[in-house]
Amino acid sequence: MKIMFLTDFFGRLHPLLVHLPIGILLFAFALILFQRFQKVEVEVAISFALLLGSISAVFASAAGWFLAQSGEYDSDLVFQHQWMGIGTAVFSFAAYFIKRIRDILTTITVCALMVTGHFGGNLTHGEDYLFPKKKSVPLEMMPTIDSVQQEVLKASPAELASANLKTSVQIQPNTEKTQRVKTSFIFRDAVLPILEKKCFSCHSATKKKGGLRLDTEEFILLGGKNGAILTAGNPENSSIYLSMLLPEDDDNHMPPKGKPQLTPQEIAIFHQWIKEGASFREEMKVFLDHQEEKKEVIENKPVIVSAPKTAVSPSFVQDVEGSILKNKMEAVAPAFLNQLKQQNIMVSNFGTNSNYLMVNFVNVKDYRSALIDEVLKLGDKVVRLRLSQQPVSDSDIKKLSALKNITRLNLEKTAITDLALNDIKNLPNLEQINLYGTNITDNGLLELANCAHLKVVFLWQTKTSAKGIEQLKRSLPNVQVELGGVQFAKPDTIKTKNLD
Amino acid sequence: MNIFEEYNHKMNRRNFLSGSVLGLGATALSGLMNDNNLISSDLQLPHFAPKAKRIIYLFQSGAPSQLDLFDYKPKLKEMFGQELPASIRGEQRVTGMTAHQKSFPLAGSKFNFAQYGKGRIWLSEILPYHQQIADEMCVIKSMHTEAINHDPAVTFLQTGSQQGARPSFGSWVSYGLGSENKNLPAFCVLLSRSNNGDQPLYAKLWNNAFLPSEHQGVLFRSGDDPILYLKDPKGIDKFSRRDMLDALAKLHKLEIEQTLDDDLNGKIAQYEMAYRMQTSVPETLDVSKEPDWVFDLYGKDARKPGSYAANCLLARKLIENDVRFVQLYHQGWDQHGNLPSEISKLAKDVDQPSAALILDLKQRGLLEDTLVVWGGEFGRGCYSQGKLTVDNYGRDHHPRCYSIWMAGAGVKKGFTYGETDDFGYNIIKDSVHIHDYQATVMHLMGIDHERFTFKTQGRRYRLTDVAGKVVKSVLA
Repeated sequence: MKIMFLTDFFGRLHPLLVHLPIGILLFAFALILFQRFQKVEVEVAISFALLLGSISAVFASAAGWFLAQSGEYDSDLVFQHQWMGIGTAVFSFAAYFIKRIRDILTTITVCALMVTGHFGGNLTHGEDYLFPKKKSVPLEMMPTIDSVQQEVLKASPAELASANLKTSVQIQPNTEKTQRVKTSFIFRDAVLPILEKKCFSCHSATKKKGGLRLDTEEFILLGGKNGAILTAGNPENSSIYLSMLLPEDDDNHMPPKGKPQLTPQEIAIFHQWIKEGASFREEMKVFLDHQEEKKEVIENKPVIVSAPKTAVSPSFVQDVEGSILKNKMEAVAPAFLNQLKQQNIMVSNFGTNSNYLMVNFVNVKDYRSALIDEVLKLGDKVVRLRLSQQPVSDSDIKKLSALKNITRLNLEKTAITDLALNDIKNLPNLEQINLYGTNITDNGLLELANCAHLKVVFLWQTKTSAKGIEQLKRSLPNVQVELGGVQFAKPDTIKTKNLD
Repeated sequence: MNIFEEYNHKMNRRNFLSGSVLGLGATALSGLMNDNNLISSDLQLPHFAPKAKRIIYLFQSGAPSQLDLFDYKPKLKEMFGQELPASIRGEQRVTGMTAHQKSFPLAGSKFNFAQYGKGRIWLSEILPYHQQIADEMCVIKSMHTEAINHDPAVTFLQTGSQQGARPSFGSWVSYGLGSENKNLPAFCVLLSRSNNGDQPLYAKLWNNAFLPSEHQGVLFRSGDDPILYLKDPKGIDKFSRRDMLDALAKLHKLEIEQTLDDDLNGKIAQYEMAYRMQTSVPETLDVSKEPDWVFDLYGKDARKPGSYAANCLLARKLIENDVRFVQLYHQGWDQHGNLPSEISKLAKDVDQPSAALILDLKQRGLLEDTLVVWGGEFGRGCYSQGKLTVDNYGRDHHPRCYSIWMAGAGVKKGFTYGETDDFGYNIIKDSVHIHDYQATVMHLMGIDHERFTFKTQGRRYRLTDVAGKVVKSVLA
């Protein structure tokens, strides 16, 4: 077991070790040229360089041999690379020992070195890395499936039948109406180019990471070490699609962090393809003219599914804030942010790429309604608002109904009454509201029943009663009410040992 | 002259420097300017939506024994007094304090354990108040560290490096996210201890190191004068203090124009902060208006300034005022001998206040975006240091595994992560290195620990050095 690990590790050093013979042997060759043209005696240096170069070549070859054992590489290509590499090592030793024809032997060594290097490059980067082959259809040409369709006008039933239809479409005889055939070859024209561009470097004939090849239909259907990757018709159950959706720093995200990533458009193509049955063949659909053809438009956004690993809570609760943050929002003007800062309104964002804002009044010393008007200018950018311990009045809250994207609202220890909650129900996305230390009663609480997404309500030190809370829970069964007022019960000391 | 000699002559150090400085200088300058842009844009933290906006770190200095608090090992009781199997001990180093011991007799915990809450969290009988927060706790039983002695281990946990001279966790957070409350420091430190003569703590643990100096942790002392020299001296009134600061700032700005010394900007910021703190600190730290039930909740020690309980209460008040990072240290967990009686005392110090803090934050709605961490610098061994008797034993340092807990924003509730073997000696599942833990807390704050760096002395530094992986399994 330990030996396996060591050889694996040594094998992975191959990409590092190969550069030693490349550098040292080329330098030996350079010294030979230098000696010949500059007419100086550096024979000792040449011998030393050749010896060092040949030893490092042996190590590089050995490491390469172990790496090849992993089976992740194409055996034909490995064969060529392996024997050229061993040849290089042999010739370099020969050049070291046989001084008489050293110049010739070194030249051969260097040639062999170049060829070996080229084969090695092909192995890691793919055969068409150095001289890319022309793609038959550039990817940019096919952003939607609609662009790859043909129309066959007035096709006769016989013609259609001869076209070897896969989908059985009832074609009515004796019809005078125009028939149209839509053909789409989504795999060849849309999916394959993406695979070629972004996946083949690790999952094809030359390299099979995770035992997975994506270059032919058979291999895609076969899957990898972890089983099948595709469930036709069900993208949410196909690991090839799910791995694209995982966050980039997840270990299972594909392509791995740092490699060229798939665009949302490309992910959408995969979604569409799998959803429609993951066909590898040309598909035809026949439409009668009067039937409205259902336009298949590829959405720019992939469908978001919760990654299966992270699903923890048994009952799925919608993350409203999360979905708001995913929508695009234009940035707020820096000058205006500065202006808010001058008035001690603290604004922070939800991340480098997010223009949504959290607004906090913690620094406000002279609260007045006009400050709320300032916040209103931020509009839908405001997602969390913290007015804790400020003398906020009911009329101020009325204005807040313009801030539709608020998910968390902190009103603890403010001067609001039940009247304010009448307006709060107009915040459609509210998930959390903190009302502790206010004069809220059961009547106000009733209004909250209209906030469909409400998850947590803080009601410590309010005038609400158990009855009111029960009523709220009846309309919002998932809501969690924090009543506070905690005092410790006498702790259970298990076998009553007095520690004093 | 042959080519080598010519080259040698051309390439002597002086020629190289004088010849290349102009050419290289121009390239370097443009590189440098880009660099600065990069850094300033990098600093638009958080990188992504934060789960936690504030942290309270309840540091238990001296290394509490996980085997007597959280990590229940019946096997140790069963094999009480028998020798620790060599296969378990392996070849790992032990400290000089037990290296000379001829025998390593297994010492099962003297205390009873039971499971609590919906997550069936194991708790020792000396933490009875923790039972009531079991549903909030996320216990990690598989923490491990590299250091084996207190100072390097605490330094490692706080700064990501055992040697020190790196910024503290709180300083990094202050530097990255700044302060929400402009009248209080973003990084506040509170100390308490159980006995005199405990393992000492040094100011380097809350030091800013190479980060701008305003990110240093501010130590709040107990008593009338929480921050030394903050009050105006006798005979100086508020107005003359204001005039003095204005004049000083003018002088500093002149100096900045001359020398471009950025530290002076930090100085101006600190003087201004100190001025604002003259009113904000006494206001925030005043517990005289707290109702009696608060002291019932945190325990009667909460009335004693400088106690752990009082500090927990202050931590709540600071967090209530949107302080970013509150760091508590409670000293005295280093029980090499007489562990059962000593740890009972320490547990009694921290049990009720820690639990009270969680519940108090929860009822105020603060636990939704505050992360609380409870834990020490390493664990303690499963064999007795010194003589083992039926009800007395000691435990030596043990960096290979130990337990901490977290609660609040973004972590799973009522959850246990990681497992140790039957002897509580080695980790058998889901190990969490110090750097992993730091990366995880950073992640909860909305920071990608790999992208959050500071360049000094020619390289970029980060809290997690060159390691660390976010422990996704503990994230809610």
